[in-house]
Amino acid sequence: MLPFEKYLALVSHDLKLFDLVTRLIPSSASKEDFSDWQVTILFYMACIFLKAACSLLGEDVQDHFMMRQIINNRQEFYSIAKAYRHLEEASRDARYEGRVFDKQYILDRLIPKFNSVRDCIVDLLKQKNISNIPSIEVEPLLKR
Amino acid sequence: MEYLKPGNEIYDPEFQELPTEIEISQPMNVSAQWQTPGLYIAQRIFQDPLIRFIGEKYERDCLLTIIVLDSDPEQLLNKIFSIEQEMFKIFDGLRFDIRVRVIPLSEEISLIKKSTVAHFNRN
Repeated sequence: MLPFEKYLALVSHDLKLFDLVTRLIPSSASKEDFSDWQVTILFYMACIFLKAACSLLGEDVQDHFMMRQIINNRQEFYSIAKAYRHLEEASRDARYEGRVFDKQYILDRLIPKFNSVRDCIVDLLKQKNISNIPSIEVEPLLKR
Repeated sequence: MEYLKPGNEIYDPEFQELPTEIEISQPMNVSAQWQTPGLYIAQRIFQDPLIRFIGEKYERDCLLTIIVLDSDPEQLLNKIFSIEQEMFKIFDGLRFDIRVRVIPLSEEISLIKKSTVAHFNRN
């Protein structure tokens, strides 16, 4: 399995987790708000999508600083850098600080940014003649 | 407007101490010996009314700038991340991290203030 294939499989795996945390919450946890993990998974899917593209461009990304360096310097990713950074900072607030997000905020502010990162990467993969790119649609899952 | 003034060398953590208290009250009112990522971005955004605090510290292997916002409208985030894009060219080779935190006004931030060099403090 090539690195990009592994990363695309990981994005699909993360989508299944996103599906789980956006479903009806069992009664034992009915008062819990899992928007923090919804936002965190969104960010990680964007991150792993980028890692897939980076691996095809010969970039071995091992930490978040390196990812920021790449997206803010490489022409292929420059247009999505700000969207990615908003996802990243929101997820840091979520997982380290317990920030809670309104569903509307996620739908209006974060999902369009996730989609722009995804679409950029899918286009790049297609340019590299990669087929079998998983379809990653998060909005219908959150809107249920 | 030129933000990296002649004579303001870019900070190198291997050879320089992080500047002590440098607060920004007016644009271009900074006379730091070394230009750091935190100072650079603080000069550009401190006048936005939603910015409560900007501080900087050296953490592990990078210069961490913490920007505390009351809320994060799209226009403000776009401005911050646009400046960050410039910074990856200006501070090429220096490890830095811009942490944008949204903290409600009801929540105190004394720990952040205590652990960083303050560049802007709205109070």
